[in-house]
Amino acid sequence: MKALVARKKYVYLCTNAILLKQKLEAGLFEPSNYFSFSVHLDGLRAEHDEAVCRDGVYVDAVEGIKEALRRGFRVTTNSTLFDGADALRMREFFDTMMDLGVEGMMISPGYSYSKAPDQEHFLRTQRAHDLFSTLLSNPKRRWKFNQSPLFLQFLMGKRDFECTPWGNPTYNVFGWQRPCYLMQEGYAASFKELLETTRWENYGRSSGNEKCRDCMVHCGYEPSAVHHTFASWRGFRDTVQATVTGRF
Amino acid sequence: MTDGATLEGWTPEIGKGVPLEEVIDKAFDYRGNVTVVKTDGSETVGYVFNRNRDVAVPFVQMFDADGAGPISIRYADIRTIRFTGRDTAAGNSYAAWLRAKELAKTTQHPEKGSDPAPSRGA
Repeated sequence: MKALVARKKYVYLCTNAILLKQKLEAGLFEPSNYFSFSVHLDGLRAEHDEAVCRDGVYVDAVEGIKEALRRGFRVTTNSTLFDGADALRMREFFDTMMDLGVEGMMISPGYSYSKAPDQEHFLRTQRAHDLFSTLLSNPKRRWKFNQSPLFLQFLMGKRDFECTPWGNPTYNVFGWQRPCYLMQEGYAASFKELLETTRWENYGRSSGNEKCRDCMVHCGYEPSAVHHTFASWRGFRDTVQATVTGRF
Repeated sequence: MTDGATLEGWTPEIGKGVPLEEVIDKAFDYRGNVTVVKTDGSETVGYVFNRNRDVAVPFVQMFDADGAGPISIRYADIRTIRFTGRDTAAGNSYAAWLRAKELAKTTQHPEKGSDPAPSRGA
């Protein structure tokens, strides 16, 4: 990670932050404008601990966030919303994160994938639109989202996109995961192999793939939103308008 | 892996209604080490992280129990796969967590019944 920062690559280190305070105290990280912790928090204490099936995680994560901020680190959050999420509680969560000093938040609906521990509580498309509309139709100016406003409008059902599964590729010790961050159907040894040998036509809503039918997750749809921003004057105008007004 | 349905300990016999491709897919999804038994009788214990049958010579890839790899093994060279390692996903379902939480509450506060926390999926 230090090598990436030295090359002036932006690093968002996703973490559950359970050990963050401990690792900071051990001097494992150094603050940099090129480095930000992205702390996974799915809501306030009760909701987050339930989402990760472990009591006490929220409290540990918040302690880690406070310690990171105190030491001058950049901190963002990423939140997955599940079926039954309470929009009012999530708005309260946004306030809490802003009060803590988090510089930006990411939100996304959960996705039903076979290796996830909870198969019953992921959001279907219409329920996702309803939830995000309630959540974001009257956003507070102080809420800072670290993501495309067009993607947020997509979550609210105000615009439609097709998935760009190669837009946020996942690379780990096994290689380049195909086809995307969520669907683990194998690995390619190189990015070139990933792009050239994955049957992309089998993925995305229009493909008819059942696994993609209800997916609205940011790993595939945020790249589509960003592409729309820079591929058309209308997309660029809409992005600027939403950014300046703070309305989605 | 769904709650309570673990393949841990499964030693399938390929061909008796159990195709090799299906066992390989299950090994790929399995969250634990397996033992790959080759047609020459040799065995490799490790974690299967990849498989591809959309190529001319279908293969699996794994890291062995010491972390060495990736090791590639052709489908044609596999006799069977035994699910010998601990299934680290077993018992980690949301339902299992809720049951454990309810049990703990009942044990600690037998006079109290319901959970004050907002519930998902209600």
